[in-house]
Amino acid sequence: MRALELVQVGLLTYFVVLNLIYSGLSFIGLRTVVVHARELSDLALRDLLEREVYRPVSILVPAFNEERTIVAAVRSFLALQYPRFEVIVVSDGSTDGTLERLIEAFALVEDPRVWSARLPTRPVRRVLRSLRHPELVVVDKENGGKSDALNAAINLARYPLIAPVDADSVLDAQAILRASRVFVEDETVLAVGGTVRPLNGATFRSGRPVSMRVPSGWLERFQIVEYARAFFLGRTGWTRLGTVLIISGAFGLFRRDAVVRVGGFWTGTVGEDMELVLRLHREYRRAGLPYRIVVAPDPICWTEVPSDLRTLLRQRSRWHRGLWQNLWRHRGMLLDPRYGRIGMLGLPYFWLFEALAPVVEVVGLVTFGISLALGVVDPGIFALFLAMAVLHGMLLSQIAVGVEAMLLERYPRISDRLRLLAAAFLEFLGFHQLLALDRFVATLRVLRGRGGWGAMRRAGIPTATS
Amino acid sequence: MWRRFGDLGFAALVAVVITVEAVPLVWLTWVVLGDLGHHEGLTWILLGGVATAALGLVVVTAYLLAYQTVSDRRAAALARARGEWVARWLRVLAGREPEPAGPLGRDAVGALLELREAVRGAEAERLLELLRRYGVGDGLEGRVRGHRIARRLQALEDLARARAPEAMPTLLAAVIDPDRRVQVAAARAAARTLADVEDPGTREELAEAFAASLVAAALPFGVIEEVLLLADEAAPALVRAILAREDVPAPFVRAALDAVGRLGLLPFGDAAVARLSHPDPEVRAAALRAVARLHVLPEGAREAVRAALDDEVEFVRIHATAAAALLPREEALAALWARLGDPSWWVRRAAADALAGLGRAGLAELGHAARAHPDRYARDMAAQALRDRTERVVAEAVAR
Repeated sequence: MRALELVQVGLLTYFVVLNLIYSGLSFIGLRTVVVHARELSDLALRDLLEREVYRPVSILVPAFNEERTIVAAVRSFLALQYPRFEVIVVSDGSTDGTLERLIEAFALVEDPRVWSARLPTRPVRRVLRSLRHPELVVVDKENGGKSDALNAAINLARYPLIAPVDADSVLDAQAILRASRVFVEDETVLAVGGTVRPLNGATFRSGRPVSMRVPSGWLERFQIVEYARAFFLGRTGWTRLGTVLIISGAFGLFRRDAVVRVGGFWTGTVGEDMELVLRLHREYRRAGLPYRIVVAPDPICWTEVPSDLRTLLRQRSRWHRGLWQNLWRHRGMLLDPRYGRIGMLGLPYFWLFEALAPVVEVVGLVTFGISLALGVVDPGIFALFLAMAVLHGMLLSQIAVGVEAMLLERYPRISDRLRLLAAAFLEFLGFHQLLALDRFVATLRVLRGRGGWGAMRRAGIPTATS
Repeated sequence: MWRRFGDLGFAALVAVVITVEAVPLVWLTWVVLGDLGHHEGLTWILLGGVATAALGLVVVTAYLLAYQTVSDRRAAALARARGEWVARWLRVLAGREPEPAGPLGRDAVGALLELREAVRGAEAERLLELLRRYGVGDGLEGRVRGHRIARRLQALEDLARARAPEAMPTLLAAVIDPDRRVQVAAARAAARTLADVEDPGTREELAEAFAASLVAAALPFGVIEEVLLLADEAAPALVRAILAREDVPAPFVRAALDAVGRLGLLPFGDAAVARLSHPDPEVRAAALRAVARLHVLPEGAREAVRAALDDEVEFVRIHATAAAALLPREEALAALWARLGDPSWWVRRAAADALAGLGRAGLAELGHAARAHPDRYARDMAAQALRDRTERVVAEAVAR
C-alpha cells in the first residue's frame, strides 16, 4: 500500500512539473510569435527580394511510392515565391507509378550529368531533367530509405541552402522566403524549422489555401490541435531557450555545408530529422563553433495527416521509435555540460517528458486503477485530479489554437473554432490515452530491437483545379 | 501572414491565466512532496486547480471567440479606413482638398506612410513635409526609445517607410541597442533613410556615423550586405566609410566588397584589387568576386589572381576562376584548363563555367578538354558544361 502511495506521489509530481513546463513554454512561445510578427514584416521580405540578398535554395523531395501526391506536391514547390531555387525529387526505388507520373507531368528527359558524390548513397540509376521547368531535377535511384534519398539529393544540390521536404506536403508560397531571411540576419544559423499544419480539409492553389475547413473526421481534428500545440507553442518556445532538438522532416531549411560537414542524414534511424539536428549540435559544440538552430512560427508547411487510426498509430509508433533511437545514439550528450543547454536542459526534458512520458502515463493509469480498486486512493481526489489534468490540457490546446486565429490564413468560421475546442476536450477522453499506449508499445519494440517505416495511406493533396 | 491586432492582448491574457494557474500546481507539489500522500488540504488545492484551469479556459475561449467574430470585420474596417485616407491624402497632394487638422489617427498615419513608401520624387518630399507637420516622426521615435519590443519593432518599420533624415540620430542609437532584433530593424530603417539624403555633405557625415554604429553593433555579414544594398545612392558613401575605418572587422570588408561588385562601383576597383591578398580567405574571395564583376584587373594585380587559383581554400579557388577570365586570353585558357583538374568538384564546375563564358575560344577549349584533358573528372565536367551551354542556347532560342 505504501509503495502504491509513493508511486502516486511520484506520478503527481511528474504531472505537475510537466504541466508547469508546458505552461512556461506556452507563454514563451506565444510571446515569440507576437514579436516575430513584427520582426519579419512584409517590408523586410520585399527588400530581401528587391535587393537580391536572398540565398538560393535547393528543395529536396524524397519520394517512395507517392504516385497520389507527387505531381501536386512538385507543382506547389515550383510555384514558390522565391527568385532562385531548384527542386530535386528523388524516387527512392519507387515500385508504383511515381516516376511515370513525374515524367508525364513535367516532360522529363534523361540528363547524363556529373555531380559531387560527397555523401555515399545507394546507386543512382539515372538523373532526369524537365523540358518545361529548368529548375526541376528528378533522380531515379535504388531504394535506400528516406535518409539515403536525401543524401543523394544533397549530392546533386547546387545551392548553399537545402530544404528537405516531404512529398505529401505543400509549402506556403512564402515559406522559403521567410525561412531564408533568418540566414541573412545571422550567419551562424545552421538550420531553420518551420511550422507544420495539417492540410486535411483545406483546398490549395499555388501553395495558398483557397478554402479552409476543419475536416469532418475527429482523428484529423485532434491532430490539428496537436500540431498547433507542438509547433506554435512547444518548438517556438524551445527556440527562445536555444534548445531546438527537432526540425520536422516535413520542412526545414539547412546550410548545405553544415549538413555535409556532419556526414549528411544518418540511414540507421527512422527519425532522421531529429538525428541530424542532434548531430549538428554535437559536432558544432565539440568543434567550439558558434551556431544557432531555430524554429520560426511562420514559414508554414501543410502536410496531410493520417485520417485512419491504423496509419496514425503506425506513424506515431515510428516517431517514438525514432525518438528513442536518437536519444540512445546521442546519450553521451545527456547531462554533459560541454553541450550547454542541449545537454543540461533539452535532452533531459526529451528523456523524461517525451520518451518516457507514455511509460509514465500507462503505468500511472494502471496504478490509479489498482489504487481505486484497492481503496488506496480517494475516488473524489482522483476525479478532481483527472478534471484538473483534462482542463489544463484543454487550456494549453486552446492557447495554441488561439495562435492559429492570429494568422491571416486561419479557419474562418466560428463553427470551426468550436469544433477545435471540442476536439481539445475530446482528445483527452481516449485519443490521448490510445496514443500513449501506442507509444508505450513502441518503447517495448525498441527494447526488443524491432521496427521499420511501415506503409502510409494517402488521400492526396486537394487542389482548387482538381 | 499575421494579424497585428489583438495579439498583444491575447499574450497578456495568457500570461495572467498561466500565472494564476501555476499557483495551485506549485502548491500541490509542495503539499504532496512535503506530506508524501497524506491528503489534508489536498482536496481544496485540487479544487483550486480545477477552478483556475476552468476559469482560464473560459476566459481564453471567450477572448478567442470574440476575436474570431470581430477580427475579420475589424480588418475590413481598417482596410476601408486606410483606403479612404490614401484617397484623401492624394487629393491633398493634388491641391483638391485642404490638409486635415491634426492630430492624426492611426489610419491616417498608416496611409501617409504607405504613400511615402509608394511615391517617389517631389510628391514624396511633400509627404515627408506632411509627416513632419503632424509630428509623426517624433511619435515614432518616442516609441523606438520605449521598452516594449513589439512596439519598438513596429515603430522601426514605420520609420523605415517614413525615411525621415531627422530620425537618423534615433535610428543610429537603436543600431547599438542591446537587443539584436532592434539592431537589425534599426539598421534597415537607417539604410533606407540614408538613401533619401540628397545633400552630399550630410550624406557623407551620416554615412560615417552609420558605419561607426554598425561596427559597434558588430552586425552579421548578411545584414551589412542588405544595408549596403538598401542604401542605394548612398551606398558609395557607406562603402567608403566602412573601408576607411581601421577597426573594421572582416565581415564588413567582405560585405563592402560585395556591394562594390554588385552595384558596379568602379571607383572602388582599386580597393578590391588591394584586398586580393588579404589574410582572411572570405575577404580574398569577396575581392575576387568584386574584380570579376567589375571586369577590372590591372596588370599589377594579375599575380594575386594567379596565386588565388592555387589557394589552399576551396571557395577562394572557386572565385578565382571567375577572375581568371580577366587574365590575358592565352593565360586565362591555360589557367582554367589546369583548374578543370582541381580536386574539388565545385572548382572544376566554376572553371568549366568560366571557360564557357569566354566565347568561342573558351568553348573550343572546353571541347578540347572534354576529349583530351588528362584528368577523367575534368573531361566529364567539360562535357557537362558544354551540354548545359547547348541546353541554355536552345531554351533561349525557343523562348524567343
